[in-house]
Amino acid sequence: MKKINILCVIDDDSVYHYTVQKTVEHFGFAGKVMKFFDGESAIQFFSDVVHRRSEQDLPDVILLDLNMPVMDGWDFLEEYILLRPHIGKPILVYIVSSSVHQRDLERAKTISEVSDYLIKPITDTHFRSIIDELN
Amino acid sequence: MASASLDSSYLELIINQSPDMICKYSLDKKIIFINETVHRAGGQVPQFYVGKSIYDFGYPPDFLKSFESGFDACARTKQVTSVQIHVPMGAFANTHFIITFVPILISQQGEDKLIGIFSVSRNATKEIEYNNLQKEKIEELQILSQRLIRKANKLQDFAHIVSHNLRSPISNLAGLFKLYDHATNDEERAEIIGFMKKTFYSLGQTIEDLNEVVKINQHVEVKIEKLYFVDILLHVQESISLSIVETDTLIECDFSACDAVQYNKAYMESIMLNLLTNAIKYRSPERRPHVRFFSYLKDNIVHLVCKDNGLGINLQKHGHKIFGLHKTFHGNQDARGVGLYITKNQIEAMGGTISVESIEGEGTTFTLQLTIPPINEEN
Repeated sequence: MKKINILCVIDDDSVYHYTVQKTVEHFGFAGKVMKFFDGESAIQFFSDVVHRRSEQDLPDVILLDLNMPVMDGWDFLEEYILLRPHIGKPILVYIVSSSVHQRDLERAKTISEVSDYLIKPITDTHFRSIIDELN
Repeated sequence: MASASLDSSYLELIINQSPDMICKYSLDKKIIFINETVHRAGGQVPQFYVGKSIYDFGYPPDFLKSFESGFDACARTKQVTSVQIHVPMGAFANTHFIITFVPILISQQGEDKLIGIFSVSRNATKEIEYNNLQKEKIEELQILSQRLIRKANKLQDFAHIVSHNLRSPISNLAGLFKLYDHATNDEERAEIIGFMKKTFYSLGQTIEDLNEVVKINQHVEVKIEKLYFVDILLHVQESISLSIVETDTLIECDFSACDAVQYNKAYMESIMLNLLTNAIKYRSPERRPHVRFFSYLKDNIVHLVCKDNGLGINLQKHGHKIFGLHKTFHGNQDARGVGLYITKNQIEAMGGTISVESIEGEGTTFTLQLTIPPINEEN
């Protein structure tokens, strides 16, 4: 089975990080999992990588939460879109939120960088369809 | 015998029996004629009026001003003009009149020449008072509907908050249950159970927080008493003295401008505790934390201010959610994001408001308008 080389999880919830880590380990969905607990530290990482020109460090898939302290998911996306032209590697961005608010779903649709909006909890079924999307 | 025109002898009858008061004026506002209705209603003989100027009766300036505006407009335009006048005194005290001014014109060398003005005054007190009452009622209804809209919005917000804050721990639990099913050894299972416990505990916390908000908004009779700000602050300081000492926080207060408020004690304690813990929690690592409380009276409303020199917050970015439940901004470990939401609800339940000003990197100022509830003498 094909898998995600590097998975990037941006979420302030440590229990969620744990379930993602465990699910990925159990099914062997990803080679490596990178964890960020808010948007700011994540965007810092991305801009560092762009400056170092070390694209091999970039993830293939980002799972992005919306509600986070310091820099939330929307603000992260804004900054990420500015960085995107400097990145050659294809990266799939998924919003993963517990919000079922119509407003959030609509807003996500307007951002072309976002592949899909997944509602928590994230399960192995989600990962399988993400991997299908990668191929 | 049918006639298209009216016998002029009837005109006098109609004029004198009319319920409206009819006067004729010269151009300098002297009364030349009044119908019987005027002296019947005013209880004066015709001589009391005729020959006198409108300015000779001691009418108040407001009345004369309205009268003049109608009279002069009629004289200027040679058109029928109506004004509404309220008589505050005399025989017609508290009476509203609609006065219609009719120009008396004669044709002279092909031009209309004004020689006098008739006024027809109709007592419109009932309809005007009724209209005013209607207006008042409409205003009342508008206020009521605004209040209901606010209440409905608040309920909807609360429903979202409940839904969102319950969803995240529940989805975590669902994820953990799934992991449990896949777990291959006891060690893993124990770890998962540990996370379940943690999640379950936070779910319980969330429900407690939400219950607190429901309680505040139920408007159960809260006891109001006279509270001295300094007493409450001392009590609050005592309860968190450990974290004050550990962080070396300097707390200052000045309640000299307004030393007390009629308020609910538990609310005031909770409000001051939240403001203080908030200031300490979001202190700047670059300087000694400094929190200043002061109060003042403005427009008869007691204001309480809490000013700190902490991290500050970008209000343009976060302003709309600063008083939301479970919103934290600085990635602080012990931030549960409960305090300000509860504080806001307590203040609003008492009829007050809370506002915030902040400069990132300099500090935050919370200003509370504590609307004073009426003093209950029995308490």
